[in-house]
Amino acid sequence: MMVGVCDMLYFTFKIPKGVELRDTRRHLCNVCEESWFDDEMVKEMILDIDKTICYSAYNMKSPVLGGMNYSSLSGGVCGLILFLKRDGLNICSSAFGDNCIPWIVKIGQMKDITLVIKHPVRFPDKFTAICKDTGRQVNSFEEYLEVDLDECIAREERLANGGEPYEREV
Amino acid sequence: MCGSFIVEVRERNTEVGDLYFSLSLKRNITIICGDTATGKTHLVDNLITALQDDKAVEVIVKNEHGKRVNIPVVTLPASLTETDMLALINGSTSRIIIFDEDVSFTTSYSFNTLLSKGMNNYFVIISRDSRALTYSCAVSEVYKLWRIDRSITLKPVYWLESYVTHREHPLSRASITSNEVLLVEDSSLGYKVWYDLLQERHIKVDTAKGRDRLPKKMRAYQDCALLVLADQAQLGPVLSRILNECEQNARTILSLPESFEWLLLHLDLFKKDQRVQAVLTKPWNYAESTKYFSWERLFTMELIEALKRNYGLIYTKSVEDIAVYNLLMQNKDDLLNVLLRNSGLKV
Repeated sequence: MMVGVCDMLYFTFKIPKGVELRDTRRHLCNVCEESWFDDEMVKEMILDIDKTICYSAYNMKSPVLGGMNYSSLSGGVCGLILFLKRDGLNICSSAFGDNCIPWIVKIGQMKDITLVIKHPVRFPDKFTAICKDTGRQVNSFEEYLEVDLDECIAREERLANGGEPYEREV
Repeated sequence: MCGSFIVEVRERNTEVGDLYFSLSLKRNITIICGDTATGKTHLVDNLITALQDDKAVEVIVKNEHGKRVNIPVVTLPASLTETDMLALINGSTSRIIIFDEDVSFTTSYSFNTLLSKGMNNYFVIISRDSRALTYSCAVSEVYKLWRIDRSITLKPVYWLESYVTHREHPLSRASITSNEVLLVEDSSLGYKVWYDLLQERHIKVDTAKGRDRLPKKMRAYQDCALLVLADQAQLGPVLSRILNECEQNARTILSLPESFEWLLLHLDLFKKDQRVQAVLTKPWNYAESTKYFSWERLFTMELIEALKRNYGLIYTKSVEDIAVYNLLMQNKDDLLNVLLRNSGLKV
């Protein structure tokens, strides 16, 4: 595995050794701090994805839900906030819609984060990330697709041989 | 359980106005994915509220004639163990069960096994996770939530007609260029039929030997004009990967009939068979979920019965079915027309 690369988006197809986070909303509710919602980038993400104006953790205005607090944020936004504010989390890609992916790429340029790939993610045409499983760096969506397709075939072979679809990190 | 249903969920909200969800379901498995913040988890939250008998949310189910029917709509929380989940699903009859994406049970081997045996429930699975889609899931039943003002409905994720109808179909032309390839997912009788049929037209026919290998095989033909023929009945899990490959090769045409057997049932050979015509018109009324895990199995069974009933032939899907093969080859013009007429995804 490539080491020593700072501020990078990593992705893995393996089940990580640590916690694999799927329920981002519940996790955020358990760990978040009120001050997180004063961060301009957090406010911007909430506005962009949820179309919700964030005044504070307990004062938000959604066009669909009306007045709300952080516990009603979407799972995708919760995952983005966790990526931004916490370290060492392995968050499943399935928590994020395609509209969250540009934000993940942006956060990956600011700090090390790890996305556990569970579905075909539509990354931007140009982006940089490292596959944790092989150490390969990809610089475009086309390059990412090559890695993804190889994993797709390997997964089918594992299933055909009676194994689990996803390998475990050792 | 079979039939077509509409699940209506009304959330009362005095501040910004009531919110309406309307889900039209016609198969035993419906997938909801799509962008973040479209209302998926909010829908589940509403169902939980309704189960607590809260008057803030009203849930009703209607049949295809708009009449209210007594089918419970339930959601199972992620906190339940796999054993509890299995017990609840096994013990239930004729229910619509909605799973939110945080329920890892839907990706389990046990759930997939149970589904493949046939269940007396309709399942709506909110998930982008490919593992949740390892079982057959039709392309047409992969949806996203779509909001217009205060109403949220299901909208198909894949509008494939644009891939099909806006391009010239190579099979409809008299002259064929040398680097055109038909790539089929099938490796049994379907492959043999298309291979022999199109050899005369000098079109190369190749098989991907399974749906999961299709994207990789498509890449191998990146320099060719490619026509991909696959069953929409079970392609849902890999379709986004296939569409990625379409983006890489602009000369790709996707043809996604329901299944090979569904195409064959459209032949003139069965035009006067009333049972076949009835099933093709409203398959949801015949696809009993305890018996048929997918519509593909329904159409396969219908073809087996129709061939036996009308021609005394036995069909096993195998390349060894020489009598069925010969019958199809005697009707090859009709077969090609059927493929051309039905190559687009009907949504």
